[in-house]
Amino acid sequence: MARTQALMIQIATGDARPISKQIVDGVRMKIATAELKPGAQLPSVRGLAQQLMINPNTVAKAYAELTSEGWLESRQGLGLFVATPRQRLSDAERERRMDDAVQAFVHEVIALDYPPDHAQFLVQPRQRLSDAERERRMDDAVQAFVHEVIALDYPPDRALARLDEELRVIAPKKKSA
Amino acid sequence: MSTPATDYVIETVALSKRYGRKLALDHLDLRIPRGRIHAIVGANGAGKSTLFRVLLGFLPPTVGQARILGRDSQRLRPEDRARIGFVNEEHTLPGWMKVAAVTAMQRHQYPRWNQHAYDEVLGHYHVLPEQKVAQLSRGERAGLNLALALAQGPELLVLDEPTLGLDVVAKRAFLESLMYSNAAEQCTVIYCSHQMEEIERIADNLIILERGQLKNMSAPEEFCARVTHWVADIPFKGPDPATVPGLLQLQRLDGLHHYLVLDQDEDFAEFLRASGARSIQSMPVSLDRAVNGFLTKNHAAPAQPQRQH
Repeated sequence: MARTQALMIQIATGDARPISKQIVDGVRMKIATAELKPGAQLPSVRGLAQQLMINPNTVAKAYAELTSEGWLESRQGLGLFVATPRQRLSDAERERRMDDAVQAFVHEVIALDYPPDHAQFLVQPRQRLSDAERERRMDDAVQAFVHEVIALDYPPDRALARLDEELRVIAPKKKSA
Repeated sequence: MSTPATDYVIETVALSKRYGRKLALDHLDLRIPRGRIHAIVGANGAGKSTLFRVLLGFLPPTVGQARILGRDSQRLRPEDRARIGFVNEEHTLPGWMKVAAVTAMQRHQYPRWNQHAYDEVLGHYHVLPEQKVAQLSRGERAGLNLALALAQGPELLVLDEPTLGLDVVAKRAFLESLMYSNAAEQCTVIYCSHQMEEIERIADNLIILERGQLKNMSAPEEFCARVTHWVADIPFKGPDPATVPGLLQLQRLDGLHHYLVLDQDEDFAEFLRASGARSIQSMPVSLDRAVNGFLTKNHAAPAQPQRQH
């Protein structure tokens, strides 16, 4: 039986995100959703490179970043493993970065003129992006926020609560009577 | 007296090559360090072919110097050439020769012949020793060329559009051999291609040539980060394209201005605002968009007189 756990991630060329970043995001997501548990062994640099059909140096770069951020740990002579979760940032630092992520998301909601409560929106004279473009931009904003929540190892329900708080501030102005 | 190995496998100093009125290489200063995979991209006529003809000693420079593996390109000896492997699109091998004969010939010529490297590459293909080269498919010929080149144990492997016209199976086998075989790991690889999808997968270093000049040398993602896509709502015509800083491409779509720009930061938003933009957004782009935008830059604003600032 193989000791290495399968790493079920994909990468896409022609994406605005560099391949190494896609790997980092993919692995973090697997760890955050507990598909990869602490102690699980990751594929070798070469193995993952062959799986994804990419240059091994790109995998090495992603693994190095994940290791320095504390998601993975190297065990001498054995390979790379999912690290046991531990505080990587101070509480104050995490709160500050969560603040930044919440603000960035809220600003995007405002900039896109997106209805904070997901209600049916009216066609505003100021609406300049196509619906598809707005949805795509909102997708990106949501993804970015979720990735930051995972990267900070921030409790998701608390993150949602913070977001809810901020969005309520702008919601009343947009609700139709 | 032999020159000790330098840190650069390829080095040009103010290299220029002129054909009549055309300047194919224009004071090119290129230094490619040993190791890893270096991709060279450029539009046709950018100077890639000329560069390699000069580096391999088939053409003299008009001005300047070219060195390959630490040796002057114009003074390459057979033992220097033996350290360089070359695979190109035509995969030129005598069509009438059997695979076994071609292989025997090469094995005889190169004292450092690595049969394992040959087998490792050719093992991906169903090539029989008694087949004539002309009977092989294009993909099999490419695989054979790569197997022969890697078995020679080169320090430098130059590939010029090697996967052009290959089917997906053959292309995959070729790239796998290039990225994962031990023999390929031992040498420095130079990969000339137009196919950005491949380059994004395999390149450690992205070299962009344009009109005989070096325009970029960096990791692919570093180049990609230099290009951004801005969308602005600007009433009326908007700024004169000739005044837009770093402009690579301009499109007017559904009443919006789409700008693809190089090396612009948040100050670009100020420029757009000053030009009357009412809403401004920006986003990163993919590598192929960045490179293609960069290379087609001169077609951004047709029939506009160039203004010097």
